[in-house]
Amino acid sequence: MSEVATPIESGLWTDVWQRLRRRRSVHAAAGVLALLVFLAWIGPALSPHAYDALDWERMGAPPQLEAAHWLGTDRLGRDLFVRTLHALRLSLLIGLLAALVSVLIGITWGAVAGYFGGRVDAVMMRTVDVLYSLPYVFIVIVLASLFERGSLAALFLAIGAVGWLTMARIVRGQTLALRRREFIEAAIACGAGSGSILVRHVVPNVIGPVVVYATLTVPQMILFESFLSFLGLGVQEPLASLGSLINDGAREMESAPWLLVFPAGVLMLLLVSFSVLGDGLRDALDPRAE
Amino acid sequence: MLEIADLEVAFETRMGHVKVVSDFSLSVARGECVGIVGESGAGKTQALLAVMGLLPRGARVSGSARLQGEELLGRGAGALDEFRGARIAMIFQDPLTALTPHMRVGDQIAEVLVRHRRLSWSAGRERALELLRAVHIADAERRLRQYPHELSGGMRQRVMIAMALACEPDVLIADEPTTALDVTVQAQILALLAELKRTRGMSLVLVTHDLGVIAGLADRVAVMYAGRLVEQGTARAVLKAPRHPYTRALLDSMPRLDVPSSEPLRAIRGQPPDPRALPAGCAFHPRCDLAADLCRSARPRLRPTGDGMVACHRPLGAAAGEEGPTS
Repeated sequence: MSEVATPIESGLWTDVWQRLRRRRSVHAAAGVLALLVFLAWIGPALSPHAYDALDWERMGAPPQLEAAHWLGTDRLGRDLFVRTLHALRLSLLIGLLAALVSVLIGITWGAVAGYFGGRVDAVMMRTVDVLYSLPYVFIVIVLASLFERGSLAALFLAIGAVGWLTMARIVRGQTLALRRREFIEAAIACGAGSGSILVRHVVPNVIGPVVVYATLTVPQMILFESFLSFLGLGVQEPLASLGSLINDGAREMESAPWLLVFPAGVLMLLLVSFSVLGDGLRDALDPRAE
Repeated sequence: MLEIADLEVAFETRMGHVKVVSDFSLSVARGECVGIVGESGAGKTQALLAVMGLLPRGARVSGSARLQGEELLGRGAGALDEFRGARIAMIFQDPLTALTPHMRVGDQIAEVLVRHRRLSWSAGRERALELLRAVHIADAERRLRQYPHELSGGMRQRVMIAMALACEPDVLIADEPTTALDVTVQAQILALLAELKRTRGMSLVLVTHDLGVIAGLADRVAVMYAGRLVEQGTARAVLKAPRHPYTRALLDSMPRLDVPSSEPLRAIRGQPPDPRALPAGCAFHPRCDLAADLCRSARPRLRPTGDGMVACHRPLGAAAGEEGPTS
């Protein structure tokens, strides 16, 4: 059998990658994200100031070039540029880590519930329902009273408690749809056990919506964290996250607007980039969206 | 090799207990090909899914299915997994939906070997390459790394056959293996199955509604109607001199090249019965030209006749007095 041209080998991800590359908005979002990550990484090194150093002579100073306070300082004289980038680092770290953990737990929970069905499914999903319906503020306050302020363990517990729930529901729905497909039946006919079927046949097939949702989970986690910081459960002074900077800045909004504008701007850029990326991924993964 | 006895498959539905297979008994010897024929909905596939343990949760199965003496029915999924793919394998009707879409073809074949023969993935892939060559797929190295949607229908079916053969099973069940393929490819796949049966001494159970497929490949034939066996015998006997009116009608309904095309096709009047509301007596009687009062009231049982068996009160070709009404 001879062919005129060798067809390009195409797997799912090759197609997705090509579709992603075609959209300009994705290019822009990816570029912004890359820039933000780069700044978060090496940015603080560009400035002569430490993030908790107090500049007694320039407290509450607006953005200026002298003394290298490019974004100004806060009430205590700490440089905003360095603090914002440190905060960016922390927010990214927390966001990505929390998203990763919630994805892992959510996929496992949802796939097992959806594949085995019956009582297993009922028990697992009712657990999800119960956790979903718990008033979140309640959990947070309880955790805040149990742990010391600024405890990162408490922070991750709080985020982890609810982050995976929606992922579990999504994966379970996808698994249910997949369970009765013929190739699952054929895999069983070949003697594959439930574990192998879940890992090799089910999960790779549900990974599409999972990736999209995971991308959209990261900004969610970052917002979560800022909410928690406000309630006293997140990062505490002198550490800062974007959320805590924004909260501080909001208080000084009238007298020192730059304290609000810059952290909020960075957060906005971060969230929008992730959202555009997530959108692009979703369209790229949908074979009918051509 | 494979002995199925008194198999019965029923489903619990909102409307009650519905039997889709009743009193099904079949034996398949080593190296023999048995064809199971019947219209859609006759229960052929359900019977074999029951043997493989692939029926959904609401199914009730009774009877016995022994593979080389070992009982398959009633085993848990884990225990059955040892048999499935290794000693008894099944290939399905539509290879595009039966192959996992996002896994490379070579990996899918290798998976069977990794699971049953404890090979490493690389060893499994090498063996998969040999298997692809054994089923006559050209350019096997390249095909190994491709996905199902990159292959043609005939090649996908060959891949499924390769997967089924990987562990050299004693019995291969083929459920309508060529229905989704066009005629020329059909011939190639059947030739492949014939070759494999011959060279490996593998038993083959071929489920189909296409009598032409049976004629080419089967040693023995079983005809099913409304969940029951109505006739069994050697392929030659059943196809040349069928005893059951249904088999005769099936054969007559096949379009023939030597008959002028102006002649109408001889369809069997009526429809196959709904398993929830089977006719009294013989299930075929509303569509049978030979139906008598006895047929309407008493269900005929399978009786031996010559080399085969038939379940009919008025079987064709019976000499006067040779076979009285069965009850």
